[in-house]
Amino acid sequence: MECKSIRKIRFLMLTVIVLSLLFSINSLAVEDGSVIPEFEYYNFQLNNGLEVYVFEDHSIPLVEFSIFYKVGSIDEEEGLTGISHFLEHVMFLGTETLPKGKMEELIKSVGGDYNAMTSYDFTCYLSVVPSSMLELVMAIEADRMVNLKFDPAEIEREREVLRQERRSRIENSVFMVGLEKTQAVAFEGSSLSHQIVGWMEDLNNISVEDLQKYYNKYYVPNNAVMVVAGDVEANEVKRLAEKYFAYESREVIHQEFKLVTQDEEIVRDFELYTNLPFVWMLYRIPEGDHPDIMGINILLGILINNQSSRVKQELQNKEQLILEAEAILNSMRVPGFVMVYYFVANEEIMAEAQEAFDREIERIINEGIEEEELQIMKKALEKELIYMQRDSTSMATSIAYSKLSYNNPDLYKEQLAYVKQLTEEQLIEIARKYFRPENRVVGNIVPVKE
Amino acid sequence: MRRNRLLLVFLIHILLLFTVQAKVEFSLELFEELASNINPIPYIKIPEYRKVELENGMVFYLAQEPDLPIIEVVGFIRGGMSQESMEQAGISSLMARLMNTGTKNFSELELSRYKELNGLSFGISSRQDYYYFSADALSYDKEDLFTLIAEVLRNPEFEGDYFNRIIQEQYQAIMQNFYYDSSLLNMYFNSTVYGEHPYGYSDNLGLLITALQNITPADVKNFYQENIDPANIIMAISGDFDLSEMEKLLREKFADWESKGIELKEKRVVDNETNYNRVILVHKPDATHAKMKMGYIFYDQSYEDRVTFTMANLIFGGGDFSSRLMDNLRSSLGYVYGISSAYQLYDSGGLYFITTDVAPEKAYETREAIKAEMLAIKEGKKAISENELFRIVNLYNAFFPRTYKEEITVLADIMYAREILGESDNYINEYIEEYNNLTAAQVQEVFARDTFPERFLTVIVGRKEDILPAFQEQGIEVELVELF
Repeated sequence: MECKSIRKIRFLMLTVIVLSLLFSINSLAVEDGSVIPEFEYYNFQLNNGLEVYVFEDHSIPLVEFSIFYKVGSIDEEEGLTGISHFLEHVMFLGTETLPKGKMEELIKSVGGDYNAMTSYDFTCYLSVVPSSMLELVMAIEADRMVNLKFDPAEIEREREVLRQERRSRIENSVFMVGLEKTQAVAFEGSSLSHQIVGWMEDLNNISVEDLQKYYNKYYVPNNAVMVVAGDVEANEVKRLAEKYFAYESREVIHQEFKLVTQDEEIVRDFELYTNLPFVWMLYRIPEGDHPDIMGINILLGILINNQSSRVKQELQNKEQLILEAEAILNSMRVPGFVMVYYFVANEEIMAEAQEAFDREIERIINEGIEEEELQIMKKALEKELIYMQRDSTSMATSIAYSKLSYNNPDLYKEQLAYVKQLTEEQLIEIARKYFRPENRVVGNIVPVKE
Repeated sequence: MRRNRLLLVFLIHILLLFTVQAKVEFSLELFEELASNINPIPYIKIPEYRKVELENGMVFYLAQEPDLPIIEVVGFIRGGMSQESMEQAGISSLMARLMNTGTKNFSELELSRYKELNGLSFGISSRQDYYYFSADALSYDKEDLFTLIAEVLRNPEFEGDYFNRIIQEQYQAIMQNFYYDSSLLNMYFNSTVYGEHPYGYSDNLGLLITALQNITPADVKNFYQENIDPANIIMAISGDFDLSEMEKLLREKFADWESKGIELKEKRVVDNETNYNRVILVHKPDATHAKMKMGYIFYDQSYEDRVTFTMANLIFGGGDFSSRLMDNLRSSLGYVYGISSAYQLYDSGGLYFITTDVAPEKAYETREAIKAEMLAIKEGKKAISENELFRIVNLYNAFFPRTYKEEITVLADIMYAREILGESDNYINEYIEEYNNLTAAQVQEVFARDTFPERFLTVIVGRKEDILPAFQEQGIEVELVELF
């Protein structure tokens, strides 16, 4: 089997973009000597569709090997919520060749470490090993891509671990229960309506056959992206990928993502065991590769996340209506959402706090954005870009994710170009478009009355 | 002709089949062959640094790292929580927060804007025996960075209009913590195990609430004056700068800060034997699982066998998927999602503890299983093997270079080792050499000598209806705390 030739991609880590970005909006001076070093990676694709990205970094003799599968909780059917995460656990229960525990033993025996994570739209398996052990982890990952063992007794035992994880992460955190309830209302009828760990009832009912079927459907080379970052040579990675991952591809059809149109604000009150009332607000946003995403992120900084943001200055410091606030961008390959939360001192001022929050959005729409607010966001971006270069793994992950989810590894470049031309008027338009009451679901979490 | 075409199609199909099948037949032998690896003993390069000591006693370690236009700072101020009185519990953390909120020359908003416009990060927190601070910026903003650090350390404003608001926010946050199982767990565990020692104050929600209501700006100012002194500050600075220019900048910012010669208080931790084998259950009616912490008072900072004990504890339960506790309680029994054991060495007395989230009806069995695992090693029934030790040493040898990939980490560790622990410049490499020379027998001996399963204080947070019966069946006395 032959691979397509390795494509070497080199880009100046955007000295030009960063500098022109700064000059385009304001005149922040950048001193001489602030040259940003080059950053490069290699990319090739096996004939079966498996994409491979190699980021060479020879500073220490370690390699991070990860494989991303394009499957996450948004791909789950009703009644099978949590199955992506369940399968992630099963992936550690052994293969036809490697009995349970042997994979861990092998990786540990060479001085390596491993982990995995399930997200809304991908599942990732990560190993960090001495670079001389790259072949071992590639062989292990190749083996469990096709030869996973589904032992009913082991799966039953693992089910209890998953139940425990759900109790620990969701049920025993009033904060997360509040989110779970609000999210269930916000995305009713959609696979976004549940948390990644799934509903307890579904965890109890997912069968061995369900897991097997899900595995066979999504764990195929053409539904995966491999990332190798560290002390490796791209040619060696290519040789090993050809040797171990030459599996047959299969067509993968993801479950259609459904989302009921929302045309009015939805507000729900939930009584929970909490001392402080708090509010979750979920605003709908487009897919992660939509041009507006970067603008939304910048707007969230100006509105909520910066220490000098409007919400913190006005609602927390001046009016003392809220105690804490944060906004989290959840972008993915289907329309995602922004999660905003704030705590209030007591129930009596919840409505006032909500009005004040909405007033700050109105102020942005009606009065615009200050020059200083824009400068802050540009500075943060400039710094972030430089820090990203210290760690090739974070850049590798970002590029691989963009390839997997959007078939566009250069997405970050487009996003930077977008930021470069972003104007105050566009930000105002984004505020008007996404941060209107009709585009959100509000969960008011209040103390139980008993 | 048609037959030939079919044959061709068949051959192509066969060829394709061959090209799409993996070329490797997996076997245990193959994996074991691939897994033969002994990592070389790493050597951590100690950066060339300049030590600058000002006349006021403030110490700086400076090292250049010109690869990227970044500057990073890590600092320690001796003191911390250990200097609090019971009446002013929590004051060290409150002071740290206020220091980073406003100064004599910057209002709260001005300080936030100054940081954000110049891309300056700064954080400071109170720990058991010191305050820890860290900061970073792009190197062309270094002047602003040290203006900020000097402002926060030298000119904090405690009487700002934010004082009452922050007190109110702290108060509300503490009250909310009564509803979080991890806060309740730490409160009952730490305040019980430490008794009246300040190490236990920061988790004692009731004590914090009482103290907070009485602390005034003047109290915080006094605490600052009694605790923050240039002679108690050490600071590591790494990045893209010229050494002489940096030294000049530091002298400009800090040389005229006069030391008042502060003397820190010392109060030893008392190991209260009445806590041995004690079980406290905090009833949380909405809990669907149990959170458990077991532990006892351990050695202080001067503990000489820390390297050996670290290896032993990693094998026993140091947070790894393949530790004995994880292997038994998660992989074999399925009782827990995660379980880990750890120890902390402080100046006045340390702590050894195990934490886990457990199915509530399995809380008793989990507690017994943890003790049994510890005893099995201690009594030599399942002694630590050379293979287990090799695995941990091999892992450490692989990961040490990554831990110390950033120069600021190496520099800060050297500074801490030299200035606080009195160790040598080569402390990190001596540590590596020490764990590489250990034998399983030595690790076994230290674990057997320095673990005390009969001393476990156990605190559990969860629903009493789910947890109590198993303990009652075994006739184990449980102190029940009902808060709700």
